[in-house]
Amino acid sequence: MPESFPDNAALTKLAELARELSTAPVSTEVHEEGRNRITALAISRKFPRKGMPAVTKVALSVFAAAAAFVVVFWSTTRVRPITYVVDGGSRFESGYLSASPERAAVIRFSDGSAIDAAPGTRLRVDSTQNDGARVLLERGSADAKIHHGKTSSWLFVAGPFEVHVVGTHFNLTWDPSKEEVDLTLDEGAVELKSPLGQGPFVVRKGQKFHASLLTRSVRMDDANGLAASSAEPVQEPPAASAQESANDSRVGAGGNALNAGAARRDSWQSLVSHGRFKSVVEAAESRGVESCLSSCSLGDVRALADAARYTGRSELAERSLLAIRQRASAGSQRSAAAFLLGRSSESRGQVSSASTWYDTYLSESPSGEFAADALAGKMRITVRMQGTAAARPLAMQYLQRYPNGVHADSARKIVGSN
Amino acid sequence: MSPSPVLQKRAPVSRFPNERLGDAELVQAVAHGDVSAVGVVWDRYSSLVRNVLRGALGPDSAVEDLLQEVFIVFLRCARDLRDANALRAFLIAVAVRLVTVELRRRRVRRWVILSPTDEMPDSSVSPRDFAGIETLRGLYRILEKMPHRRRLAFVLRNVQGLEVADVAQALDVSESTAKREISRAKEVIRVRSRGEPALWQYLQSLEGGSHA
Repeated sequence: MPESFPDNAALTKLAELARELSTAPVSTEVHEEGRNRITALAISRKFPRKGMPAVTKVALSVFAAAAAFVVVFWSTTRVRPITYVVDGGSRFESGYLSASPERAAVIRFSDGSAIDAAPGTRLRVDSTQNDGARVLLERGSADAKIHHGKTSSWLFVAGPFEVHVVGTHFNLTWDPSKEEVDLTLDEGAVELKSPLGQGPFVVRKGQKFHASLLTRSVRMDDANGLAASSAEPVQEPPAASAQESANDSRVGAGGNALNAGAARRDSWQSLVSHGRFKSVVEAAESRGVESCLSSCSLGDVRALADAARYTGRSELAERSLLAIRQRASAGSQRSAAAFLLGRSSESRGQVSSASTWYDTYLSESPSGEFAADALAGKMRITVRMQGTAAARPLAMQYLQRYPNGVHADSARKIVGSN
Repeated sequence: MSPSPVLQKRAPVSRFPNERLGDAELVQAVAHGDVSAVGVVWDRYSSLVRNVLRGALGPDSAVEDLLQEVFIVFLRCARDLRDANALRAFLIAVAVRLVTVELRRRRVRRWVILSPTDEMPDSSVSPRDFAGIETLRGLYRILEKMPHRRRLAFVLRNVQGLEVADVAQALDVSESTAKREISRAKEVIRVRSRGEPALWQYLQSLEGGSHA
């Protein structure tokens, strides 16, 4: 596809589609209602200004005064983010640190914490706050001694793995070429989030955690080097928090680095509405698709279905839609899932199944938002399977209900054909 | 009883219908309190203004309220309208200003209360085609991320088909700035459409069609 694609002609067509939407006429009732409202205002000669009511003004004044107080208080009493200095290695303004192949580098933080970066290590101090920092280990090994404070909060990110730290001494190694992570605890305990489908792990003093994305394996050894019977996942959180946990997993088994600002918890619907389809699919896979289909909110499952459709994962989309059908006993989500299953089946050439799903939708939601499309789908499939003559009643039905619908031309052709 | 000869000669004087007045006369009539002239302005321009609002916001429940707002501003300003011939441009400019405020308000609301999504709502108007709606959702997701002026420049020029000079006037910028914004908007759509599967599929189908 050339760089200039889509060209101006394609964009013009796209704009025409948008124009079709924006210029659709409104009903006479809507037009007359608007006319009556504006002429009534003209008669009364009272043209409301969109000013704010007095109560709102007072409330805003109070709010402004309170905000000013908070700003003054905050600026005089706030605790500043911890600072750090780097000894050895190359440090850049962006917080990026590169330890030379021969010599380790040390980062000393103002709260007493320190990170020894082994020779050849690349890491980034992504952000600092008054009670900790966020450190991205891009490659190599970091030996961290984190000062334990009442509110300490440190996050180390190694590829798709997250290590949440309060106060401890540990060594974290990440090899991006093999996609392997190693964590050894000398003191304290940390919580580690893994994209390998299980819940967060608690790694304690003397334990070693190893995970490989390539082999999708996780191993925890105790202090004596004996393999523990299993890694110790934290109890699966209840649906809501589990959801948030899943939403925070911005990466999948592919091993991309986490995005900055991972603390922000976006809903899957929101991610879909911002076009971040892949993130939703990856988050679901990170949590475990089956678990999500059974326990995520229906809105999120629908978001997953949309994200899967948009990324060409038709099998996952169908599973998600079927889960909605299974979990919702009634309502628009359930019937919309039937329509989308019809679309999906039709696009895969499974016309019989598609026809059944369209029928299901039309029986559950005869005047629903997709009714015209479902009827048109039935019409297309009938032409394909039984010929034009058999589709004529459907075409007539379509024209009767949607004389100006987008498929009206096709319906007219079917009705008019001999 | 037959009518008197005098009355026969004096045929009732019918008012010149407002519907046939030009914009300048209509504005004057409105300014002088002629309520029926307000109705005529509504009949003449409410569709155009609604189209501008819908083009900028997508189908949205706020459109009808904003449309009323535009006409309220007109009623308030009719007396002071310097160039009564520029009624059309005035209404478009007011619509653009109100849309900008609305978009800004929504952005703030999203920041402050993390309101649900800025997803284009399901359309109650054409195109009822599912693929068309998904395509437009993709387009509006891209428009949503643009600066308001760029978004409106694209909508006014490409969706509403206004001349560049009219776009510039509505946005209160020079023509060269308007052209630049339109061009940048297209470039953004070009780049970002690849991340919108339904939109990308639609554009590719056009490409396929053009070579067919």
